Amino acid sequence: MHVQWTRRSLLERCAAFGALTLAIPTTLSKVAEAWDSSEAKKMSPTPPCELGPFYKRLAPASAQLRTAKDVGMPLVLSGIVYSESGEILPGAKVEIWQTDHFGHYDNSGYRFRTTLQADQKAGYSIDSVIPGHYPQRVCQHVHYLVTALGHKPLATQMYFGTDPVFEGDPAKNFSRDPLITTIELVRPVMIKGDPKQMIAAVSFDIVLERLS
Amino acid sequence: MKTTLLTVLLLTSTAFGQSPIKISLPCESTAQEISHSGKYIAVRCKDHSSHVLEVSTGKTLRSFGADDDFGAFAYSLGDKLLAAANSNGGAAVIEINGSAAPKKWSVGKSGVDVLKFAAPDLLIVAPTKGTAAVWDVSATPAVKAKLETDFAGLTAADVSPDGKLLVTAGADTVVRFYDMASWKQLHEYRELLLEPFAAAFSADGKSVVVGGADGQLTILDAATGKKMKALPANAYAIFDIQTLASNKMCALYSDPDGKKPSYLLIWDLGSAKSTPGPSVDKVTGGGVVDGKIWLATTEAKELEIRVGQ
Repeated sequence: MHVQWTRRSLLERCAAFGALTLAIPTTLSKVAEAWDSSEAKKMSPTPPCELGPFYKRLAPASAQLRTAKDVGMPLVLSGIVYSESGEILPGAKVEIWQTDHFGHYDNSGYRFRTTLQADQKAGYSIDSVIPGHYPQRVCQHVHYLVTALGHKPLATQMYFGTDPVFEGDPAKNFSRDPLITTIELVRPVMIKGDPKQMIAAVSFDIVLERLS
Repeated sequence: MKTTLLTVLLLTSTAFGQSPIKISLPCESTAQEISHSGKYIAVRCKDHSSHVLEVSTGKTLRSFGADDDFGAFAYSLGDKLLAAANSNGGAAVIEINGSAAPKKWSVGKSGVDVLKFAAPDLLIVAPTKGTAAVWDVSATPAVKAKLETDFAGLTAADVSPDGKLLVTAGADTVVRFYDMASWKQLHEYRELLLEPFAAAFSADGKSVVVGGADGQLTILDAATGKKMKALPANAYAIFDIQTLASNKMCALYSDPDGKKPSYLLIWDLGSAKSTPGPSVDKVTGGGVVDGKIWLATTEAKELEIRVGQ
């Protein structure tokens, strides 16, 4: 017979058999609530995507990648770094690189490349431009390499839902870029600001898988 | 695929003195790989099948079907075996002159960035996604050693002329040296800023030359893994390096933005000077045979190999 234990009944049985030792004074119901809460927060790791050929180490820690002279749609790209258990990961290292508006990577210098440390709330943000297209790649994209203690390094890429390649339907057309294996990596783009100074805003949270 | 670039191989001389070798193919071919001895050529067909042909006769020796969809090939030392891989993690090893069914197995879920024999029965496979491994293919293929990186995978590997050392280049920008008897890492070089895409031992085995997105050949001491010197940088990225005689190396340069044609430079490691290599325009495959470059071009089902002097 299959017994479907509730969390509370399981905890009660553990307590009754002495298998449950609580480090701090609390009630079983609170422990059950905490358990439920942590279970509910479990997150799926961000899908990986190819590192790409133009990763460069030791990019400076600058959130301001765009200068006044840069051509292209201004972009604010931000997010929070989580562990798959739902905990935030302050101090996670977030390396970001992309092309400029014309689809060119700066390999001799560090334009549009940065190494950030997630803040106390595990947040990161950059001020950049929407990258351009270039011949070898179908879609506009931003590269990420995210590392945090106790977690697997994640190399991935973020794509823009507004990319003309998707023809307004990224859910249907995301696979036009063979490197995009999941719609999860295609993010909506919010247009902010006034008509004279529009800014594209994209949120891209990162979820890291724990080292086993 | 990187292995396609690896098929554009290099030469000790820029001249092509002999009459071209012409072969009628069983298909229209998109890429070819010539064996170490020059006796065989593996061809990838537009219909996704692949075949191994005898160069002297044009006879088809072995074939893989379109279902296999193999696009990357590597020959064992001595040209006894041909390894093949596809973009779905499928791999196979086949005896070129045998009749036994190929050994087929899965090396992952992706294509491969490196497919290279390290010894007669040891095959290095670096999947695009996942950890690279050395496979013992003498019986049922089994992992003999894993070639770990900090993140991402390997981009290149080469074996020293004496067969004792393996050098790998990783997308994590690290160059690692392994003892092939124990498969223990001996040294590593972590000073590259950009990804290396190619690595090759010099002919005397004393140094390793790496190059990649930085457009620069960096010469490392094979005995210590330390940098000896770097040759002048180029605006193009280096996608392949081949070892030539007389302390020379040849590097394939490609436009990082993909807008301009690729070209070859032959570097003298001693003088740090380069001379232009032969044109790789329209070249679809090739190989180095006895220190000479063989470059292949195709038109419809006709293949032509130009042999360097």
